[in-house]
Amino acid sequence: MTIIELKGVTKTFNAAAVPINAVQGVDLTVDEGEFAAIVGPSGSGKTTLLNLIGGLDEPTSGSIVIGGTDITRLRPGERTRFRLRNIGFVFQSYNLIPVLTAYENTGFIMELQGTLPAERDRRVRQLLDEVGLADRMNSRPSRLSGGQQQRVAVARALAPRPRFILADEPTANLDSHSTETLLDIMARLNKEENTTFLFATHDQRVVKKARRVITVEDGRIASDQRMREEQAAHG
Amino acid sequence: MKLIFRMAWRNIWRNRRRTIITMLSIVLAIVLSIIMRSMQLGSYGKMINDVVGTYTGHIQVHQKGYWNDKTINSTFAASDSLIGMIESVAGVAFVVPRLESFALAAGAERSRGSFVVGIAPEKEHALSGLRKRVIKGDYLTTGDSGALVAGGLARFLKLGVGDTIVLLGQGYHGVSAAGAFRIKGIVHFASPELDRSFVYLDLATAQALFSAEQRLTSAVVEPRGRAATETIARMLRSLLDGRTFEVLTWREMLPELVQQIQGDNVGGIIMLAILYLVVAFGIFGTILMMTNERIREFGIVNAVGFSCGRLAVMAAVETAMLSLLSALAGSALALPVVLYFNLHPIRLTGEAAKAMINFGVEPVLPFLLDWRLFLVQILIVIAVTAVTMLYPFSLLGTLKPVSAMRR
Ligand SMILES: Nc1ncnc2c1ncn2[C@@H]1O[C@H](COP(=O)(O)OP(=O)(O)O)[C@@H](O)[C@H]1O
Ligand SMILES: [Mg+2]
Repeated sequence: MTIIELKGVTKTFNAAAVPINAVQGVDLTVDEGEFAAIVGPSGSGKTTLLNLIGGLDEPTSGSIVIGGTDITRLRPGERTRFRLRNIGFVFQSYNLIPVLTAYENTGFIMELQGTLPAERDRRVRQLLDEVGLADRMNSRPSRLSGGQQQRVAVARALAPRPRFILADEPTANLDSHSTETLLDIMARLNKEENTTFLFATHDQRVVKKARRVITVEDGRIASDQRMREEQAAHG
Repeated sequence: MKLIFRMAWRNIWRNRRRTIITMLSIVLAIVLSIIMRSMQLGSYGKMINDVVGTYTGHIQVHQKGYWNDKTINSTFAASDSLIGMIESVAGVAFVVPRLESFALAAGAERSRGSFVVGIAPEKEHALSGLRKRVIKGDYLTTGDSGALVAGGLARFLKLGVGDTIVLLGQGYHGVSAAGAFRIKGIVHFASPELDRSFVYLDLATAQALFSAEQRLTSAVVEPRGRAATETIARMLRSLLDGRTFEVLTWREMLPELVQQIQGDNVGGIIMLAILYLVVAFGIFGTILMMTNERIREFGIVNAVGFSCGRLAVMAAVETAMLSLLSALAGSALALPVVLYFNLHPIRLTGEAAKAMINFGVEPVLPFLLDWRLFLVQILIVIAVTAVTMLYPFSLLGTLKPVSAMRR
């Protein structure tokens, strides 16, 4: 089942003297359960593309349909609510709210959604256990390592069971061991909960784990390859 | 909402030192201004009560023009119906009749100008507590033929209780007024001016002396509560013929006092305005920093679904906690001080004391204890913070998660 559908999406930034075409005529479809990487050199438009899909930014032209809703037609307030209900986000760094503990950060979105406390508590404990941070539940982000923080961010994004998770270079600031751990967790949760992951990266270790690799160059999709199961698993 | 409060509370303690300094500045401003206002307003109240309560009263009715010329010729006939009408005005507690004039007072050796007041002894006491001012001898009774003489005047004339004081002056329509009165009592006034000039007679005795039978120079109208003064005055002005009578409130009779209070009050308000301006900049600086250093964070929480409206509420709650807590703490600190000086007024000495005595005011500074005093300061702090909140509000109103996160 298709959950993300982009048609002729273009994003032009007019801030500089010369307009920058960060995304140019992108057509893209993502199905439920995918574990897909958007790769490309720095400045190729990965972040801009993810921001458009996530409803954080508006395209200059084209349509973006998420689970049947054309999000380009939503007003800013509606878009915030749409993000809250449908999309999980993991950013490059500083994802977490500094004044909340790992436990509270993980339950943050569910709390905003109004999930009952008992259900939320169960889910938060389950996910913190999954990401291996059950014993750091009451630590604030400043007491966690970068890798641990990103794991909490993944748990937070996943907690309310969103339609899909967008992760923009989630491992950019992590050492290889932490990168490995985070990737394994993401891949496992993708399988176990059938959550769709779409992440941007230029890290080869991350690319190897993906089951679909979408390469962007100068704001265009240069190639779109699906790996076979074994290929992805063995790297 | 619980989440917002939890986050707001923890957010204000993220930079503990900055928050404490900001809060202390608000606390200090609140304490200073409450104490200062309490002292100022307390002393105004005291001044008004002393001056108004010693003699003037809150409202006086005269023959038109009397307050300016103060002559015995500007008297009016005090019919029972006139007094009854004044007494029947809503809010009037009682009416005190007086016949006042100047006369030369003489003892055996010396003489001096004096201010002679014919009074209804019981009513006069009800108004100003005159009986309590008697330091020697007795108070007057209705129909009394004796006189009460102010202490300073008696000393000057070398007269005491039982001696005779001679009063010489001009009566109604130029008739000469002369009489000798046995001194029944000596009264004391704090104000030297009053103490060196007052002579009290019973009303009928004075009317006979000045050949002004049944006539009054003034009818003092006392309201039940001070607040009713202006209403009653307005009512009286509409009831009484404006061509014959004048109705004056203490504000009109004592313009110097009113001016002095207003001048002092304005000075105080300007000082407070400056104080609050400084505090406002302090609060604004903190809010500015608290906002600017978190723009990226705002972008991220908004990206994951925390609406700008919620962020604005959170920012408002943070600021409100910061200022309200400080305002309450400041009020709590100021309260015992105000309470103490309300019960134990500061006694002034030196020049300030002399100036006050000359005004007929006891030289003490009682602090005003009034919950409104605290409320006003708390409201000012709330208003100041409300204005500083415009900054985060305007920023959050146009927050774009993408550009916020690019910082
Ligand atoms: N808000 C913006 N204003 C102006 N230019 C931007 C903005 N965001 C991105 N760009 C430009 O768009 C291009 C693509 O950027 P980006 O999507 O961040 O690439 P990537 O994530 O692949 O590194 C870059 O040239 C970048 O400078
Ligand atoms: Mg990027």
